[in-house]
Amino acid sequence: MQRQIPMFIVFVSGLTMIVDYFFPRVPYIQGAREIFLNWGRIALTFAMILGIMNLLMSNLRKVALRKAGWIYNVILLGSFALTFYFAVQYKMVPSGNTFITHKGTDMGSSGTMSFASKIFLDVYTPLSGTIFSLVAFFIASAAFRAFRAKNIEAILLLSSAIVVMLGSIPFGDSLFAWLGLEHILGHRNFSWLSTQIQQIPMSAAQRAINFGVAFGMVFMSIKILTGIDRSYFGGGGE
Amino acid sequence: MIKRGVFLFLFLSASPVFAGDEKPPMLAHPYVLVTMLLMIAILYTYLLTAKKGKLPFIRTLPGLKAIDEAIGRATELGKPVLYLSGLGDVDNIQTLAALSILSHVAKKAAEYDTPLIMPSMYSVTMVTAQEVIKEAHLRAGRPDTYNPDNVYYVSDEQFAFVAHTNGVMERMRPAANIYMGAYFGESLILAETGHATGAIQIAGTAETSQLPFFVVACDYCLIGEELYAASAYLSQDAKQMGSIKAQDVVRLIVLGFILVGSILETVNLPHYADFFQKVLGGG
Repeated sequence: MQRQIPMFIVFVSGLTMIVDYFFPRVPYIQGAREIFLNWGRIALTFAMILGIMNLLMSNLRKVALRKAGWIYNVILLGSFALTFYFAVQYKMVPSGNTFITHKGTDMGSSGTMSFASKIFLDVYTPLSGTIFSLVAFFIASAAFRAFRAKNIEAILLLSSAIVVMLGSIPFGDSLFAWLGLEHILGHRNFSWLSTQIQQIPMSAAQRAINFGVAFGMVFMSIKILTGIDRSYFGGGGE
Repeated sequence: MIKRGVFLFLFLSASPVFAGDEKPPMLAHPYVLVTMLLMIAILYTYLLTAKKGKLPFIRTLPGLKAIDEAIGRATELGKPVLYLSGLGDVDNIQTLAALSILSHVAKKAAEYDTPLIMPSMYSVTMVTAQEVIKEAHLRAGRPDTYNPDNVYYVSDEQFAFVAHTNGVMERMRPAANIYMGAYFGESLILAETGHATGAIQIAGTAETSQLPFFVVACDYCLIGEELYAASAYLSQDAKQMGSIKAQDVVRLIVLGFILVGSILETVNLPHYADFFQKVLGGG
């Protein structure tokens, strides 16, 4: 019963969406769709409360037990309390990368930005950017490993990567001219070759993967809707 | 009465939508409906065949075979396994595929008595994952070893979640990192940090833009559709394996259409391609 009821809800709500998509004139179907969408929104809101409770409880427990690195848990709890306090005090709601008041602006009467927005824009956004900037270094380290010419595939990868890199910077075409290759190959310089590699073999491979992904998605959806795959409920597929 | 109803329905289905008519058609997207019904028919044909005991052959997926090996390694080293279900919520089909794989991983980890850590970006995913892992412990006969504190919510913010997960990798040094589901700009940050900690890494995503990063930085990678096939492969369930075969048959049919289209386009017969353009454009 514990599994049958959720399965039934999944099937009925999924079927409602399908019927609404194909037969939009079926009586009451749009109302039924709205009801299921509202159920989803309500469940999401309560799940958010669950998430916050889980975050607070697990961090408080680590602080109480003085687990390794508990000071970071204190910082997290402090930041949470501070942001929550200012957002509630000024009746702020998140909107994109900032907070707005219930009147639709995050500026006070003096024209200064609210403290809740300042926390987000002056503290979180730079920290987030710092983490993202690590990608640049990680690309270099990952490329270094990938481009080791240890077999035919790696050599092909390395050669195409060199061509694409040279084709993406002005230096590539200057080098092409300096080597005198334009007399032999004409306009087929590094930028041209780079475009060819990206437009023909690369997009062919990507489209092939996307085809597979699309079929996988459709069949996975049908399996979930019809209850063939229940492992995401914890049923282990059986 | 029924006949009249059926006739009316068919008539309305075939009726064109007149300009200025604000009412939606009785039957929208007819070609999509026909294709979907065809897919379901093929799926059920193969399901019935599989149920009769004729199990289809599915090629070995090295990434999935390596999961057991990775958990075994973690057990030997006495370290935990880190599992991430991606940056999608439960409304993302990749997350559901990741949760299906989690069911198998959690059962194996429970059998080996190895802790499974799963930070989650969304609270709904967290709650669902907790249920999946709890159930897996029950199936493994080890309900006492289930620790709900190992599956927890972190943040809805992408890089806050990534910073936390990287911190977990650095502090706890999991012996195996498993990344399944939808990943975006953070894929390489996670995979390279995991590589630096010396963990065995298995990834699987249908995000084509992130696949190269996982292929380079991880030991094994499930590419695209393999993520969706994983649940069938791991469960060895007849019905699910039948669905994979049906998927291959549909793919072959589409491949046939593509080949015919390519040949006809090459010999300058565009009507075939125009028809599909109309079908796909008009749905």
